[in-house]
Amino acid sequence: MSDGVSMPRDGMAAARRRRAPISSLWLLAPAALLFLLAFLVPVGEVALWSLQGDAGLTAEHYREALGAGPYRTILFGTVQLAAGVAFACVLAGYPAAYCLASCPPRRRTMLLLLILTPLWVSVLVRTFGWIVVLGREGLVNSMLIGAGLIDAPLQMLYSRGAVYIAMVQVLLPVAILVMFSSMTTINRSLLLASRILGATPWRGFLHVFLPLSAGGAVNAWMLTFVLALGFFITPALVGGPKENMIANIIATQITVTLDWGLGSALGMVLLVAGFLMVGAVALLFRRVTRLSGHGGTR
Amino acid sequence: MNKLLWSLSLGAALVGAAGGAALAQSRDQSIVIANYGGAWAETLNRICIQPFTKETGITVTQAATEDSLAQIRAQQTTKNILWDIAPTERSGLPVSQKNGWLEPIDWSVVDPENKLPPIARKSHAIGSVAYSTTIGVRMDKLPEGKTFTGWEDFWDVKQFPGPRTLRNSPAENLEFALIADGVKPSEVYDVLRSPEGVDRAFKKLDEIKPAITVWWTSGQQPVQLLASGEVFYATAFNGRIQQLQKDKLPVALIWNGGSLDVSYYSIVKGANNAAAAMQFMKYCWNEPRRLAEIARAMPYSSFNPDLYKILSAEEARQLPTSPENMDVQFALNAEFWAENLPRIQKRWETWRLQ
Amino acid sequence: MVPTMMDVNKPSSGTLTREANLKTRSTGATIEFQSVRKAYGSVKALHDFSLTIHPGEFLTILGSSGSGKTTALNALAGFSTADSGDIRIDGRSVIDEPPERRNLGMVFQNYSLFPHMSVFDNVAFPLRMRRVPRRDIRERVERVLEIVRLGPLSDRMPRDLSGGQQQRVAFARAIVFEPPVLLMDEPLGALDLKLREALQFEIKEIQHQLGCTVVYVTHDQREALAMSSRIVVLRDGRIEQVGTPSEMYDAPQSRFVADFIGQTNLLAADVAQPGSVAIPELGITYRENVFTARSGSWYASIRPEKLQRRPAEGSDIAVTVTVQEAVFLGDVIEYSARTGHGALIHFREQRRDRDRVPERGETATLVLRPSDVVLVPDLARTSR
Repeated sequence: MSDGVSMPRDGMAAARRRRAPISSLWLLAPAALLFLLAFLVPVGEVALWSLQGDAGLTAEHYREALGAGPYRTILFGTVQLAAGVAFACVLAGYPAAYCLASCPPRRRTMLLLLILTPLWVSVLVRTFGWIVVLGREGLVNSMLIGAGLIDAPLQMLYSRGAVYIAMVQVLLPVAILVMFSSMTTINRSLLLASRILGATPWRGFLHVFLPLSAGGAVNAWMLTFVLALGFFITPALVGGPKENMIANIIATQITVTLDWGLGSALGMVLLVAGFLMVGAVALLFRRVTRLSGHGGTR
Repeated sequence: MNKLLWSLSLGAALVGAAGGAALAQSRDQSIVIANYGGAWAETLNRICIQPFTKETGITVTQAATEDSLAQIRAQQTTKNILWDIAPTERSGLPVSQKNGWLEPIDWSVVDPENKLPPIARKSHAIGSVAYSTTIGVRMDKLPEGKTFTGWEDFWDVKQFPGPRTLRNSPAENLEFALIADGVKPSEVYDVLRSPEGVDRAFKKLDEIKPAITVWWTSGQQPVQLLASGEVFYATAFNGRIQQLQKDKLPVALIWNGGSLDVSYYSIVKGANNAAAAMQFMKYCWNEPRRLAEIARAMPYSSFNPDLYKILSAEEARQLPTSPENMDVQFALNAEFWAENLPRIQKRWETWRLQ
Repeated sequence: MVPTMMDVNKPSSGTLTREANLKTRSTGATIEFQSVRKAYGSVKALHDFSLTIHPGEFLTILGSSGSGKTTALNALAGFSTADSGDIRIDGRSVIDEPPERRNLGMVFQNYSLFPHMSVFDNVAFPLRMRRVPRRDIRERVERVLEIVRLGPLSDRMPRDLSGGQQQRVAFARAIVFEPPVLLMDEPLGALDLKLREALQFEIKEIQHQLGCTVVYVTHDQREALAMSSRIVVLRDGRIEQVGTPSEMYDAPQSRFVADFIGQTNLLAADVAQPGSVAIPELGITYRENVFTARSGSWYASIRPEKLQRRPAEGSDIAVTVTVQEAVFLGDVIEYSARTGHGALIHFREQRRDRDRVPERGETATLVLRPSDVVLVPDLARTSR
């Protein structure tokens, strides 16, 4: 809606954009090297350990990790929790990201700063914060008892709910940032276009903004899911007596029982499970957007 | 790309070789002690390391670690030995010893007068100090007129209601369960060695499970839970509970049935300076005067009996190795756990999920 | 028809065959701006803007950037609220209505196609928002895509279309619900000249079929002249002049309009007494009987094509010039020349085969009729 000259959007420009990465492939070299050294090499080593038995190669550790028993249950529980936490992060972070992407630049900078501040505080400290708030003699219970609403303190801490709250709090800024950055790429004049073409603000959001920002939301889910998979401090500190994450089990195998074979196998299984979940979600998303006539948004 | 990789790796190799040579040279007059950091490291630094360096000219560096055994294994596997002295408590000693990751201790150097009892005088480790896993009790939450005496009471949720916490580990908890079930502290391992003994311990643990609100993982956690009133009864290291008492919290320490755990230190295989390491071991962990200083700084104590000739009766009562406290506790059997932990750990995980 | 337009369909179908596709000729609405004011901070974007746009009219708001033309359009579309005044569509005040209630079609400068929707879904969008039955939607979208000749591309995504094709989708989307008013905000700005001219023609054609009122915003005076039934020239938030393209061209009422629309030679003129005009830079004085200007300083606007090399007759005025440069433009040749009094003037001739083109430095005698000189004041005489 400005008097400025708009960007040319012809096929030529698109073709040029598509061709660019081939010639600039070299720019990826440092990142690729780092990836090779810091990821592929150690993971390859862990993969080797996971297959090493007392006498040559063995699948024993994988049988142990995936067979009926505590490890499989804990693995499923971990994936389930991580998926749920990531979903909650996206749900809670979306409106915040929308707000952020919609507000004027100066206020945006300030809000971004506020959202980023918790990232400077260690996860441990943030988790202890919840112990202070949710504990038997914590803030919430004291207030409820003080107000005469309850007689005995509620057991809020050391439960799955507490793990959810604490993990969501830790991961929320990440989800917000990912969705915010994808939302800023959405051309705001599309919303005006939807309005003048007859959409109420809500329907314009539903038909235009939501599908265009869905890709960012899926990315945010994937990132927070992968991060949540590796959590172990938070569940150990605020989780209930039955709470256990696969990362804790791996740590125990590596440092306490020194069963590196099993620990490595569990690590590999977690890695593959993470890849599978992320791949499945990405595939599902593409499928859904294609079926509803919405092509890729990015 | 190949050329780039080649020159990069060549450069890395050159830098590595030069650094290694420089390091090896400076190592001649220095040793590295791996440690868990915190107040213990500071105490060691003040009481042992600084005077040791002053007297001998050997510099001592402390390397912080959180998982000594895994690190020892990694260093031995990669043949890149960074430490001289490493902590080898619990399974660490038997596992490392079995795998040949440790140098034997020359006791004619470290304990020429034969002062240490066998528990502190292992072929491949010195028992530096001992600490206890004991019961901390919030006295203000105790039912009126009742006295809390030990594991039977910890298990008795009718007489002593309230939330509890235990460590997230089968080691020591199976022993506690058996004591609560009537086994004498001195006989727990005889019972545990039979399969029925482990079953009996888990069965007893079933009883207390509903009262456990959280299984703690780090040493500060049970103390913090006690302090915040989150639990009324907790297992915790004696020093941590005593710190709560110093902070004027109404917490009692129950030695009865406590698990005495020895903080072992070993010299790792291929250590750069094993001789200097042994010299340091004697200087720091087998000289009554310094052991007394350590015990006054932190409530952890050596097995050298001469220690109690220096300390007052009042001071001795606070220490895990004082004769009166030793009698009511049992020593955690590292060999048993080294042998059985992997198997029992899996059962423990399964049991926790049930 | 220009070949570039035929990038979709075979060039066989002429524009007329498409006429039958629209069943009814909807009638355009009347739009009234009544003393609309809008300020952004201390900057007054629109002063007391009043204008009546008649049903079926193609009205162009012409102005340079910052003239207030976009502000006026935004106020009409409902994207921004006026500080005061009223806007009425067919007599109904819409000033307090949100954009979606105003029932206006709009084509945006950057097209604003929904990137996640196919061509079909983009065009169907306004119908879906109006809860038109599914079957009708298919029928109407297909019909309008036929009109803009994008039928075969209905499954494509916007990013797979050329600029011209995107522009047509935007256009189809704006007219599919047959709005009584169509707003266009520099819709051709991003296209190259040839495509622009072709689409100008098509837009006019379709508007003629639809009969809707078009409010077209542009900074391009050629586009305005080519398409509009009336033009409003805005300058600094005020209306400079309103009129048909030929009125704007032949009878500009201010120096600004004379200069802004078309090419012209602007020269200082002195009116000594009613009827006597002197243009010192041309070295001429002439009598103009019908002219009733007051004495004083004026500007004489002389269009380049009015200056001709031909024999003088009757009351014609002759000016001798030295040719500086000749620019060959195919059908016409544009000259710049210097008068004996130092002024640089431009003139233009239709090219005829055997004519000899005067060369640089040659003298030529140019002839014009007194009635071809338009005297304009420095400032606008009237505001509307």
